[in-house]
Amino acid sequence: MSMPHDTFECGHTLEELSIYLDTGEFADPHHLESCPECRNGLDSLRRLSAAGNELFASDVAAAGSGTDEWMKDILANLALELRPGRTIPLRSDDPADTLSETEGAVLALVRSVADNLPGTVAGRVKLDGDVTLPGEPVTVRADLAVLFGQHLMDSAASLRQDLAEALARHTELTIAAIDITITDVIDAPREEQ
Amino acid sequence: MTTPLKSVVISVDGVTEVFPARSLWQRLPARAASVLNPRAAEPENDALVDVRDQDGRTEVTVRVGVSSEARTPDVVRGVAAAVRKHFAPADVSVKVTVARIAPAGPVAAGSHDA
Amino acid sequence: MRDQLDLVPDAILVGRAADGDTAAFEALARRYGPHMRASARRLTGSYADADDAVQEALVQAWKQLDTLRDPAAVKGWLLRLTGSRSIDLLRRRRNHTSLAGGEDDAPPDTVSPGAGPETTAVAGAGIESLKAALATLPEEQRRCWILKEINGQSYEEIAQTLNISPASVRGRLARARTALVREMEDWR
Repeated sequence: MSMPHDTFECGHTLEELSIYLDTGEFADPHHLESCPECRNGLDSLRRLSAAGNELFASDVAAAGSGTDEWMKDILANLALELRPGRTIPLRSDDPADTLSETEGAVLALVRSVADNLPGTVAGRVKLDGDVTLPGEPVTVRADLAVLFGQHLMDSAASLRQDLAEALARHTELTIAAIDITITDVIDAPREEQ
Repeated sequence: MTTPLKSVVISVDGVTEVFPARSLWQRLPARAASVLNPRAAEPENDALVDVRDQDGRTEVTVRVGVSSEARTPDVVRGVAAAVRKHFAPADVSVKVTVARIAPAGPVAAGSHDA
Repeated sequence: MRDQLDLVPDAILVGRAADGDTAAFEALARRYGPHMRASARRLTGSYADADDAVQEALVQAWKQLDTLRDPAAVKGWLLRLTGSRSIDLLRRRRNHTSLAGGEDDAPPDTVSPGAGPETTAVAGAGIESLKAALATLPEEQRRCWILKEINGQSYEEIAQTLNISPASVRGRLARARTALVREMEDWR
């Protein structure tokens, strides 16, 4: 398996050309324009790169779709640990009781409210403020992706209203503000490029 | 012993699920249908409701899912009251945590199902 | 809702997953799983090991999502994790086989070079000769080439994955390409 050191008659090597293709570094760039051997070498490397792209495409095709059984099996095996976050207290009728909901449950609620509006998908959601103390002012910050064609201001306004209602229904937080940031406008189905 | 208590909890209006009570967040597989779906078989080792004596007083720990159509604070107080009634006349302290607020019925599409 | 998540940009899914949304994480896994699997298959040379590597990479990704500085760069990050877990798996295998006495540089050849049962598509002549050429490469060179060309990793990233210097990566990659070009020309 010992490769002979492939040196062209001009003194350059395929290895140098390979590095040139990756980095653009070459001691004597003008030489590449005039040397037939080096140009042949570059052509070979480009053919290799094209074959590599073909191999990659065929490997990915052979791997199957992310919606196939194999991925379902992997996902079923993952046993992702849930993230409860902070503990948000709820008032109890009896002083001996301790009632609460998890921050994770409230974040999921905020996401589902945003997802259920037509043409919007929630991104990151934050509860700013000490949610573990009753009465502390809390600001809800939600990132939002909106499908192209939706009226952005209307989407944000109806989401703010729906969120206010859902948070009043499911928490005892003192909501100081609901800040919605539209981070993305989604215009077309996307796939891995 | 704890099984009747579980049915007491699940029959409170607005409760959709009962989760294993302890050492949960470290152990609970997010996708385990047997845990998330009350209709499926219950895991044997995880007590769904934890009852223990603490300084002569009985402490009951419950973790539930609540329907998004319900009002979570009311549901939680309802659970505490139902548990207290179940143990009466014994004096208990009840700890209820809501781990999930989601539409009632089969596990919602796009959340945990396969 | 599932379809909706499949439409949104990576950064949104990463933000949600970091907040604890398993559905968003699964959408990411569905999106990049085939690429991860393809890479792991080339690296490990085994269908079963590849799926183990993908699974381990996803477990690690879920735990470490918070450490991802640029959420939009999640694809490259997942592929780097896949590369590392695949190499780890190979090392564990290697230790086993050397303990068992059979030390051999060739990987268990389930995937490369031959066409496996799943590569039913009529592959171009270029692919076939490249597969054959890859099989003749020393393992370290082959790994560098796969991490660069299939995973799109930088010299620095490959160096970290393989625990060697970037200069070694550069050298091995150049030697790999030289050897591949020679091999493939023999096939033409």
